[in-house]
Amino acid sequence: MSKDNSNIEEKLSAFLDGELNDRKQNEIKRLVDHDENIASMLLNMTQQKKLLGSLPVEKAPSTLLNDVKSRLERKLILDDYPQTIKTAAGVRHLMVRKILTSAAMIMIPLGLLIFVLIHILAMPSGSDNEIVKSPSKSVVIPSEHGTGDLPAADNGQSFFCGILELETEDLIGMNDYINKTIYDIDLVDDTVPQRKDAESIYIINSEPMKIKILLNEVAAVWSKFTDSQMTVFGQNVNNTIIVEDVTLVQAVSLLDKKNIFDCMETARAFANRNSIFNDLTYAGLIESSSPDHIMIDTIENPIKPILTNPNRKKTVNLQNGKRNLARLTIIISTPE
Amino acid sequence: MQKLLDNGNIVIDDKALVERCRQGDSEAMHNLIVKYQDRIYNLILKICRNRDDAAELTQETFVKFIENVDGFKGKSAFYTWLFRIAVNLTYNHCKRKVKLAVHSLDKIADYNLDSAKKQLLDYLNDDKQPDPAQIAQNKEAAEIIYSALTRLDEDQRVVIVLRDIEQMSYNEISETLEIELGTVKSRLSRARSNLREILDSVIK
Repeated sequence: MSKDNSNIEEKLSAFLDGELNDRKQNEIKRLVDHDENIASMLLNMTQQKKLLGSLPVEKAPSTLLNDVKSRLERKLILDDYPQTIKTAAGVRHLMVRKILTSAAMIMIPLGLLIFVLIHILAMPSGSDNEIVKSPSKSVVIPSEHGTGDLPAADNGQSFFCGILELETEDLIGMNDYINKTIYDIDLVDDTVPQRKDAESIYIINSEPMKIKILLNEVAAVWSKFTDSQMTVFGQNVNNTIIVEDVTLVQAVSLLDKKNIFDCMETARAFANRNSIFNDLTYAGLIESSSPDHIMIDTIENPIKPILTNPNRKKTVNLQNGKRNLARLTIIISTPE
Repeated sequence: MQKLLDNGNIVIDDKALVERCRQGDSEAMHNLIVKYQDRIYNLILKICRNRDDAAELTQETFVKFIENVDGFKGKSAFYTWLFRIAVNLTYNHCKRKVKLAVHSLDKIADYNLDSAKKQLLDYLNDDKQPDPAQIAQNKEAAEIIYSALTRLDEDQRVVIVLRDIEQMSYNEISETLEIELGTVKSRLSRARSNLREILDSVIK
């Protein structure tokens, strides 16, 4: 069929359906009037259209309505209903998951932010340790260096915080002795022990008196330690004084100080004194075994050991019920 | 206007019925099914030429309508939307059964339908012939026409059924099939031309 024929047929078809505008309608009328072929085409088209339009209309099956209803009921009961339930449950599940995820996405950063803020606000001293406070006492979770927030004191000044580092060839023996002593003088609850390969750490948060008792007991084995060092902390970890070759007398003396300022002053004096002593020893001007360096009998007002008994806790003087906490971290290690 | 007067009876228009269907009114669903069931059934029957299939597809059409009544936005007339569902379902069905349709034509070609053929030949070429309804009532003649229809492409068959049997306007066909008006025009023209050729080949 040529393109022209196809075009004419399309126009005739639209003409037949009355879908042309008046101008085109008149144009086709004129064409039909003057062209027999086109008139014949139009006739065929018209007859065919009439024929198709006259085809008998059949009635839909009488059961159709009921069939539709049955089908809907069947779908509802067998397919759609459980599916709807499952879909609803699935949607609920997804919603809950979305809500929980959203809540987690909000709460986790918020929690972290709050934690950081609390951490910053609660640590004016800038210490890198974490403190878990209980109503009765402070428990310090030590950092690797054994430093941390200074224990709270009732008067805000009379506390002590230090690290006593001791070196010994008999690490096992010294550990046994310290452990036993801690148990005997009822410091178990106040002590957090840590063990490393060649190092034992005892972080003791207790009344200064109890710690002094411990040191008094340590005096019996002090000669087993080949080196000693005491680090005393001031108001913050940046304010520290290291007393090398500290003696037991010096350590106990530092614990005896009434406030941190006296403690720091004394520590500074001990540090200078020991440094000068070491220089003199190195220069051969004095004996290395200076009586003052090893004299443990010079402890002022030595504390009598408390005998282990079921009532020993009651015998500890808590200074009229006030707990002036001190923290001493004892690090016992083998020489490098 | 929701209610129209039709031969003294109050007829509620499609829009109102659809709205009631949305609210779960089973009476409205009933009314719409009764109103359109014959037209939908005939449309499908003219396209697929199988009564059982037509009945099944008609049911499916109404089930889909009820299930998706919320999706009807009212941008087009309700019945064009309903016809679109029916046509789409029938399209899919025909694609699966195309071989059956061809087979049915082969069967018709073997019939001794001389009388029916002559009637058709005379009618198509002479406008002074009697009422076409008389010819269409002839079972064999109707069967020839249906068979010729089934030999058309589905697109052309649908468009010619919608126009010449369902008497839809070009705009309505365009809405139902979701095609351009120009496409309707050209497709219908080709469908008519092809149908004529098929009929000629059968009746001559």
